[in-house]
Amino acid sequence: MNGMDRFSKFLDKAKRADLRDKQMFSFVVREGLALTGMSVREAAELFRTAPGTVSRWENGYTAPALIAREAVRDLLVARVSRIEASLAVTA
Amino acid sequence: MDASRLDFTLAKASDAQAIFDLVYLHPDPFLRAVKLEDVENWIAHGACWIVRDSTNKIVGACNIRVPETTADSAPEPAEFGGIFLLPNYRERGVADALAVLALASYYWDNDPEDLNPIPVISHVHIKNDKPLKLLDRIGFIFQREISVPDGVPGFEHMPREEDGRLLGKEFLLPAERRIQLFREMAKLISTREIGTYAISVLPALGMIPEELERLATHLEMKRSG
Repeated sequence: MNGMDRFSKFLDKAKRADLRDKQMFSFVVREGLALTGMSVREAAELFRTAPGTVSRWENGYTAPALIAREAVRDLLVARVSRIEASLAVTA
Repeated sequence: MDASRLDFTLAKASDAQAIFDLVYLHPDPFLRAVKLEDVENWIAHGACWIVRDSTNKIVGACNIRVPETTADSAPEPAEFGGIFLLPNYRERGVADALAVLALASYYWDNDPEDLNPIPVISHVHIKNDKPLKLLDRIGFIFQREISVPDGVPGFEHMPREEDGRLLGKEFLLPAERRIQLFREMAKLISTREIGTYAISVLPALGMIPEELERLATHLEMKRSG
């Protein structure tokens, strides 16, 4: 899979994800952090939580309230979309 | 300027010096000795909730440490690090509000609908009675006596037993306590006041009173089977 495919696949999957599924939420966090290059600490500041909590999310141990899952997903989708758009321009 | 206004939010790295000054304003024989770098670590690796007065000065702080985990290591309990508050703000409901914000936010972010979430614990020196009233009000219950291993930095100055051991008490916050925490948090967000203070709260991501109340009711129903 080339780099652009990975961004597109993430955006497609994340936007349609059933976030009631904790493992799906875990995927969104894990892949979202990988694609944005955000550290757990940077993500914690963005999501107003502890880095330890973000590490629990990305490893599938816990997940926040459903409203918060959607907010986390939306923030990651927005960031990944911006990166994808900038890559498309420079490609 | 409104002197009775308080703002509750999560600390940022730039708040470390002010929190350090607040915590170590009054020496306490039962307080673990730490350096500025340790407070920076609280903020970097935990959730440090703070309260500011109308001049933007930090007047209170509450730290919850959430150990980082990996795919191969099961998560450890979170640790409630207590409340630090300037004397003028004590016994006015501010400490309780900080505790509610910190703990409700923790549980909001960690399986709020599960009956058995990863718990929160707290440790207190065996002879330190000062925090016990607050821990009791929040709902912590005594679990066991613990012995601090030798060589852990920051404990050197603390009173020890005759045999040289350093003893502490471990408290646990029972999961059912979330029902009340979520309701108290909903009240804080919606009433925007604590006693005579007008407050603003920037809580955990997505947190709203209606969902907190729904979660509290859901947990009540789950508990009653």
